[in-house]
Amino acid sequence: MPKQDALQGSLPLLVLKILDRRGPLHGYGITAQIEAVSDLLRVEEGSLYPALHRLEESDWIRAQWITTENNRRARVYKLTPAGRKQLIDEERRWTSIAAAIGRVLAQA
Amino acid sequence: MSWISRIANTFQPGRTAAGLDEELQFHLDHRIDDLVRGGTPRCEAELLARRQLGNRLALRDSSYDVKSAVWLDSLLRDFRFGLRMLAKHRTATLAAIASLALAIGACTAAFTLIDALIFRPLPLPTPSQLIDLARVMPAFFSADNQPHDSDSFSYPQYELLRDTAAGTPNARADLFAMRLSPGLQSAQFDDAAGASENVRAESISGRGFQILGVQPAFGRLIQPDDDSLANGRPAAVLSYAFWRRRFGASPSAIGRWVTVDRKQFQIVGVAAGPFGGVQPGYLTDLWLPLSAAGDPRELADPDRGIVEVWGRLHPDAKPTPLRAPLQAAITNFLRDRVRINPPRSLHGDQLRQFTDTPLRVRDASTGRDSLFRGQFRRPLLILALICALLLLVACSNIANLMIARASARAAEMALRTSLGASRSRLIQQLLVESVQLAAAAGALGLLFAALVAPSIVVHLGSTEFPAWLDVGAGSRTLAFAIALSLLTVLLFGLVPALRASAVSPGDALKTGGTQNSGRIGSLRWMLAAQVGFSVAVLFLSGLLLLSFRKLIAVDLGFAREDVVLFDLAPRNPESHRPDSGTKLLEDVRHLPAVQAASLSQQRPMGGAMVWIMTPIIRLPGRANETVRPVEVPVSQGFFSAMQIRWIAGRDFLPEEIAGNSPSVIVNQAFVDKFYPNQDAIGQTFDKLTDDPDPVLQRIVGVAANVRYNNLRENQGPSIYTPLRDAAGATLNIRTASKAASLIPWLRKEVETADPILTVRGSILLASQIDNTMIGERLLALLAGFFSVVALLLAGVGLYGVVNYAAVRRTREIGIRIALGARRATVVRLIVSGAAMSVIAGIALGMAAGLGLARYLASQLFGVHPADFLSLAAPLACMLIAALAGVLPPALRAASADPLIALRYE
Repeated sequence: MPKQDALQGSLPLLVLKILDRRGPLHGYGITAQIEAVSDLLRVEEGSLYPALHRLEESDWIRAQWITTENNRRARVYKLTPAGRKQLIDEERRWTSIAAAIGRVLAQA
Repeated sequence: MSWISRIANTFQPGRTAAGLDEELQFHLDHRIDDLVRGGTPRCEAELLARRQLGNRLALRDSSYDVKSAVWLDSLLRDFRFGLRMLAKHRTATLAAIASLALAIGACTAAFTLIDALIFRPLPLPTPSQLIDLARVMPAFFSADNQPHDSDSFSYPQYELLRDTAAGTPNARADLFAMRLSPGLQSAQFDDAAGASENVRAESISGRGFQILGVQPAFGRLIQPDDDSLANGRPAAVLSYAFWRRRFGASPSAIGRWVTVDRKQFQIVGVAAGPFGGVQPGYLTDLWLPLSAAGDPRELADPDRGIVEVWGRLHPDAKPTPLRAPLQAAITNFLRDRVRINPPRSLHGDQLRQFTDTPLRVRDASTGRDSLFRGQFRRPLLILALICALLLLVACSNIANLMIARASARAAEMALRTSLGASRSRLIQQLLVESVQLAAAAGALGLLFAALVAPSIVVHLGSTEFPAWLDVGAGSRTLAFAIALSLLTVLLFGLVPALRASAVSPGDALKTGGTQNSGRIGSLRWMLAAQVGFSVAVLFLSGLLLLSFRKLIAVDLGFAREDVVLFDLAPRNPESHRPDSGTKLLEDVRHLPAVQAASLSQQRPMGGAMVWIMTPIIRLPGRANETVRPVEVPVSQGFFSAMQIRWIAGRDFLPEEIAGNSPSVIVNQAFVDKFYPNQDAIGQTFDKLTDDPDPVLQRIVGVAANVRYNNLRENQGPSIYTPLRDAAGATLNIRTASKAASLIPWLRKEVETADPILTVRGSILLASQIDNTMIGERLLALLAGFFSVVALLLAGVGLYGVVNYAAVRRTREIGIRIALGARRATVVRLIVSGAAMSVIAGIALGMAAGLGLARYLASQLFGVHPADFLSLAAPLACMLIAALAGVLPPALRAASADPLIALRYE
């Protein structure tokens, strides 16, 4: 399992991507989704919520309290248009860095 | 989320935290459910879920930081903590706030007065466009031989300037004329049954209000068609303040008639709110149309300077290009006049200098430099200087107490540092306390200023010349008070905060905050600063007090007690008799209680308000010399009534008063200047008058020098000429005693003695003299008060610091006494610590005081900054205050019981 540091920078990207694909989700839903997709990645739960609140602060996601089917209040996060733009930028950056690293690994 | 929601979250930390908690709890519950569903036992699942989520408190904190404004949160905490700290030291806090509020209040009041008098633009739209015109008159035109601005123009000159300015391309301005009044006039309103009251009435051209941009509050203002020489209307406009005072703001004032200078005017309106004329310091009560108020012959006279020319530049016009065409117009006008009617008193190059006097287009945005402004500018600036020094005294006093308290709080600072508070965080906390102190003091100071400034304005005036300044709390005053309060935070808060926050936690905690053995240390220079500022206040105040004492005791050359002055005027001009004086004096001298009576053309000690005649005389053998003595027309008996000492010769004879006699009496200064070591009696000289031929004058008597018009110096060379006409003159009556109580009775007697005369005003000579010292008296009064405050603050500050140091050294002193030190040694030990600061402070304060004293020079009289008394008096006061502050704690420390002292702490 990669160390937490490696994931730290990419956590916002993953959150944005998941919200883009799956629509509005609460914090636990996001964790579960990441874990479901990747066996390798495990979200450090301690850093998820501060990350969510920072994204909210940057206006990339918006939060809303809803009531779930079993009658509990849950805080659900949704991507904003600004968040979608940010996602495209971040994704492009990530891909280019990954490609660059891949080239170095292949040719060095 | 915006910064607004962050700030909102900061103010409701509970709600924000609860939301975060709920979200985390939701996460935990789901994780546990999932784990249980996957087969983990519930109790194990709970542990696991919790471990995965991590420290919930820390999580909550980091999210809280994201969601709220951290800086604001810490400020709020500091604010609450600061209030608790200030409340804990209640006495010290109240003393600090009171002294600071007094100083800020004094500074704010001084600022408001100076602003209202000198700097604040007139309350008119775009005041920067306002201009007025003046000519720079050559030196030979004035008695003191100095070039000066003259703003008087004849009405035809004004018309020429107005038309020129309106027609100048690129530099256009609308000009109008005003006749500004130097004093009050008597007026009768039709609701007062013939009783007269004194008003300040000014006349203005028809377009004046329109050009100034004044709006009516009620009714209408003077309009162009009111002001027409052919068929003008006698309209009168009241100022708002006068309308409220005289008519209680009643609309029934409109339509009333008022008689000014024997002409009737009907009130048509009230000028709006803050505008009270263009002379700050004076309130114009009444405006009249120029044509209706003036004498048509006077207005038509091309040589008689009777109006002032004001105007407003067009929005894109500049004053500089306007000057040249106006200069050309006025110079051509004057050259024509000189050709037609050459003035006899000018000769040679003086004629050219007169016609070519430079014209100035002056910025009039802050109004006209009135006599009032000239009289009080310097006193108020000096007042501001002393207030500023007082503020420095108060600030250094508080800084001292804060430094002393800060070292007592070293343990608190150390604890906070070791718990992770950064230095900037500590400085912030200490500065917040200072800001709280300054804010409270600033608010109180503003209140103080709002109460004090109006009463100072009242003291600047007299019954004859009431002062009027708008010193209401405006935005400028408010901004000044806020800026000043913030400045005081830097002055008294910054150094203590920087010092206190620089703690080494290990040392401070180890010694429980008493690591330094009680040395005053760097408190020393702050203490010296405080003593220094106090000494500077004392020194400057001392100079003002000493010179006021000299001024009130000055020998005038005449006796001031028990003399009543009556200003006489003809009841109506038709019944005017040129020889009214002789009979009047005869009647008055026979009244019981009257010791002597005489007439003089000008009221003695009239200050800048009287017209001083300075005729040109030609002495035999000195034909080319322009000599301008002061001329004072007086009746026979003037010198004995005023008790002026005779030097030689005799008084006027009754027949000299009655006829056109060449006899004159001169003063000692005249003799000293023109007939040194000669007998002046019988000497003759020529006096130039409006008549074509000079008048021959023969000296019959010599009187001692007097301070006739000015307390500060003897009148220069003067000639006394015979005065016959009582109308327009001042009657001086010397009574046996109690002159003040006799005024109403005397007034009636004077008016019955000669029914063609009426008494325009009356005043005791002593009050008249007092009125010339208003500025000096006010300064002396306030300076005295401020020096007591400065002395008190210096004493309290010394006491606080020395007491603090002595308490800190209780244990050390106990050991010394136990080991056999004598009490006197202990006292010396404590006192010597403060003595250096006091001595250094006195030296610095005296140096600063001597440096600043030159700004006071114009107000000083008979006192020099380097005089023994000027230097010794503040020194002695300061030393006494220092002893009073230092000795009690020193004696207390020395009388400590060593057993108790050693058990201390």
